[in-house]
Parts: sequence; structure tokens; C-alpha cells
Amino acid sequence: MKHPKVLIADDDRSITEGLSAILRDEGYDVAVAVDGQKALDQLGAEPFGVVLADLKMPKVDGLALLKELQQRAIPTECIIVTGQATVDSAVQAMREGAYDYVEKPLTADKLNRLKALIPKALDKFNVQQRNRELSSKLEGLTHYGELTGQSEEMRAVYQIIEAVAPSNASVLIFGESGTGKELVARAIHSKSERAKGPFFALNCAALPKDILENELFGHEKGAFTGSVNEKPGAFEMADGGTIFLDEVAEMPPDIQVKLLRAIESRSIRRLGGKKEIDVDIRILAATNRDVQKALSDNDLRDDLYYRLAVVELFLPPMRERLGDVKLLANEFLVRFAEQNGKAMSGFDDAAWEWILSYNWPGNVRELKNAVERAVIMSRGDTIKAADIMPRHLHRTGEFPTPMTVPAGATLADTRRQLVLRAFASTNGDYARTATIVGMTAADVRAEIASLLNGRPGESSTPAPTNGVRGAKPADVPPAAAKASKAPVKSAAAPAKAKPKKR
Amino acid sequence: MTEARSTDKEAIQAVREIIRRAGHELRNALSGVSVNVEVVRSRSERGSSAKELGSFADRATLQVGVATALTDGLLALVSSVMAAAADGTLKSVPPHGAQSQTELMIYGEGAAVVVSDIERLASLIGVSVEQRGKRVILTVLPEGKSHS
Repeated sequence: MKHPKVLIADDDRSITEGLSAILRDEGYDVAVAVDGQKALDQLGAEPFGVVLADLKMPKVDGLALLKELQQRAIPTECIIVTGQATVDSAVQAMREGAYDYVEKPLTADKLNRLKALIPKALDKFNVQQRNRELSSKLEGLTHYGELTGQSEEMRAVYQIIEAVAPSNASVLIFGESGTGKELVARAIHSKSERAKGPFFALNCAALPKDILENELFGHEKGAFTGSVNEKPGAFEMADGGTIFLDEVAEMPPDIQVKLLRAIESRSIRRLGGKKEIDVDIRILAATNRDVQKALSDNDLRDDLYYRLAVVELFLPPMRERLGDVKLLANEFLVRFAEQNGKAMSGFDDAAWEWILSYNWPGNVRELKNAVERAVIMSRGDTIKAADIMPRHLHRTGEFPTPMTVPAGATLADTRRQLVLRAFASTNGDYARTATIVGMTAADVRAEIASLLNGRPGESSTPAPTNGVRGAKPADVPPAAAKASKAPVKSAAAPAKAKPKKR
Repeated sequence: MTEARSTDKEAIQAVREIIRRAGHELRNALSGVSVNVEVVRSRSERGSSAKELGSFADRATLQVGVATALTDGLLALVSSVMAAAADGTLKSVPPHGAQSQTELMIYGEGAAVVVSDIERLASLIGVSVEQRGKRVILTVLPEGKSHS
């Protein structure tokens, strides 16, 4: 067994020899540094969970050692042991990041205190070490279970999953529709000790009350008219595994009471049944609702919420993890090209421009569906803006994200991006787009038409009479085609975007 | 008069610094005693050999000696300073570089023992002692320069 490592930094040999012997007897692997500089050298060369440092040492004193440890980001927990018994030095040591402070002389009581402090400091070090290892493991990771993403936001999600999975704690997952809440639940299950047990997912909003109750708790034969056989519910079927309750805030209140009872007693009673059936399950739940509002509206019981939300996990919407859009789009392209037996080489520049500037209110699910549709509809080996864009023109909101103009971008590039965003935010209204961006409606038409034809940047010439210069009828999306023929509407502010509920 | 009081104040400051250093070293020495005795106690319960325990016992004994020297020196210094303050011979002398110097008169029966105790203390805490007849000059050296 590997012994935890402790470094004693003190220039007094009579103390270091005795203290080393005591700590070795306690099972620690002990090293000694006779001054602060040597302590720093040793800490830089190998990891020590705990350092017992004298405040007054030659070369680098205890406080300077603490500062250096912080500056060099050397992971360890430092307990200051000193004969300078002043409150100021203790406060300063704690301020500089010391784990604790023990005053000399090291009487029997203080030695016992020191012996009790070391394992606690080591625990803290080990937890932080695990987090550091996890962070470095997750760095650069593009996939985690069935989840895809390498953004900082998703790495934070992976880290929570990794931390919570081995426990039996209930987890309440928050996230807009389409963000992948069930995938998170599956990842927690598959990383847990219940991975070999069943994973049972149930959407609480999708079923009428009676059916939901039956699905959750099952029924006995003859429980109601037509129940000719007994049927186990989700709780029984998930025994030994995990049950995932999606859209839990939509669950009818009286079923919430039964759910709470089941969670607390770890047992259920089937409909029409008299006996309690013990179940060994872990509960994961999810909601896309504003939980505070759901609580204040009495849609979600407080006591159930506290039972379910032992750990809360927030899944970011697509617009807050723009760094993952390209990764996801490419991955969906490969998947759907393979499923549809099509050889696709990728997205063209205009398509990327659309994908990266759109705010994806339906989140990953919307991107996935858009790419699948684009693969099916595409007539070449490259996805064009027209392939992926039209469907969303019917239901886009405003773009809450700021527009970034990269250094070196041309005026035409910037104008095209502005037009595209405004066009999407007005649901394809040329007149409103023109008012927003300060162009004529004809120029907006020309800009959009050239984009749909995969020829961005050719829009500054006057528009032809049909308003869609050079566009083949088949290339013109219904919304754009309709809009291009529609009379010019009066300008109005774009509607406020709201995440679409599913 | 004002100058004399000011001089006394500086001398008292220097004596305080000597006492602070002595206190620090005394706590260190007592820690040395305590931890080594603890090793002897805990290992003897487990039946460790006398040879193994000997070095820890020796170290504890050595630290008792250091603690004794520091205590004797402190007692000698405090009593001398109090006597010098009472008869007006405690004074600060112009600093020698950055080092503060304090002069006091030590005389009478047992003066040699008192000075010897102070010298022992001084050698442990970074203070030099110069004796000119009855006059004793203590120079507080920068920390970490001379003592162990």
C-alpha cells in the first residue's frame, strides 16, 4: 500500500527527527527539508500531500513558502508549525493559503491535534488531486458517453457527471428542450455501479395521469376494469438500476406525493395492491421548467424537489456552447450521410456561416434534425446554406449572441452576416430586415438570393424583377420564395426569442 | 530628560526583541523535548530496543539543556535589565550599522555567573555580548545570521 507523503520543513533537527519518527509510526512517508528553499525544490520535484512548515526558516520562511506554492501552483496542503505565537502571523498564514496553524511548543495535546489535522489535510489534497486529474483527463475530450462537446461548459458537465455517478445521489438535470438531458442521465447510469442494472426512462409529460401512475407503480390483476394481468411498473423494472423521470415538473400533484413516498421508503405499492414491494433504485430527474416558478406555482412540490435535487446539473443551451456547434454539425453529417448512403464532403462556407450564426433555439436536437434533413435534401456532396437554412426561417427568434467580425473580414462579409441575422430574426421578412440593417429591400433580396445560391458576396448589384437573382425555383426555400413575392410589409421590431418547448 | 527617556525606550525595545527571540527558541527547544519524549513513550510501548530509543532520549536531553540555558539566560537578563533600569544605567548606545545596541551595568556578587548566563542565551538567539568592566553591551544581530 502506498503511504501518503508528508514533508517537514524545519531547520531544527531535534524537532524534525522526532516528528519524522512520530509520523512514520502513523504510517506516513516522511521527508525533511532543512530550509524553505529546499522544501520548494522537493515539492517541485515530487508531490507531497501535506507540508508541515516552520514559519521561521532560513532562506525562504514559511510565509514566503506559502506564497511560492501558490504562485507556482504546486499542489499540497500546508500546515504552519511555529514558535512565533502571534495572532498576526496566524492570520497571515491562513490568508496565504495555509490549511491550518499549530503553535509550538508541541505539547502532547498539540501533537495530537497535529496528528488529527494531517489526515484531514490529506483528504482535501486527495479530493483536489482527483479533480485536477479529472480536469486534465477531460481536457480536449470531445465525447463523454453519448454526449458530444469539448467546450468549457460541457467539460464542466462531464466533471459533475464523473463526480456524482459513483454515488447513489439523486440528480435533477436542468436544461432546455433538446439539450440532451436523457443522454446525461444515461451517462450517469453507465458510469455508476448500477451500470449493469436496467435504465428506465419515463416522460412524465407525455402520459395522462392514470397511465403515468400505472407506468410508474404497475398494477395487480383486477385493479381496474380490463386489468386481466398483473403488471410491474417502472420502479420494479428499474430495480437494481436507474429510473429517469423526464419533465418531472409536469407530473400531476397526487402522483408527486406517491413518488415522494416511494423515494423516501424505497418501496412501492402497485395499483390495487396491498403489499409493499421493496425497490433498489437510483432516481434521476429532469425538467426544462424554471424550477423556482414551478415551485411557486405549486406545479412541483417543495419536498419532492429537495429529494430529487440532491445534486443539480445545468445543461447549457446550444447558444452558450457555440464552440461545440461545428463539432456536432460535422458529427451529424457523417452519421446521416452513412445512414442515407450518401458520400458527403462537408458544408460549404455559406452553410457554415448560417450554422454558426443561427442561435439554435431547439438546441442539439434541432441541429441534428437540420443536418439530417440537409443530408437527405442535398443534391451534391456538399451541404449548402439553402439545404440547411430554410426550415428554420419559419421559426427563428432574435440572435441573443453578439456578432463577431474577425480581423481581415471584408465589408461584404460583414454585411452578409448582418443581413443573414436580421433576416432570420424577422422570420424572413425582407422589408423588416431592410429597415433593421439600413438597406433597401431589393438589396436584402439580392444578398439572401446569392447566399441561397452558394455565392456569397455577389449581392450589391440591383436585384432583378423577381427579387431572387439567378435562383432556380427548386433552390428557393418556401419561406424565402414566398417572402420574395410578398408585398413589402411595414417595418417592425423582431419578436423576442423564446426557447421552443417540446 | 526627554532624550534620556527616549534612550531608555530604545533600550527597552532592544530587550523586548531579545526576549521575543528567546521565547521562540524556548518553544522550539520544548518542542524538541516533547516530540522526542513522545517517540520514546510510543515506541517503548511497542517494545522497541533501548538502542533505538537512545537517540531520541539523547535528543530530548539535549533540548532540555538548551531550554535550561535559554531560561537561565532570560532570568539573568530580565533581572539585570530591571536592576539597570532602576539605577539608571540601562541605555541605548548609538547604533552600529543597522544593529541596535543596548548597554547596561552588571555588577555585584554573582555578576560573572549572570553575564555567563546572558552570553549563553545570546549565542542561541543572534545577539552578541561585549563586556567592558561592569558595562555589558548587547548587540541585536539581524535574524538568522548567527544562531542555529
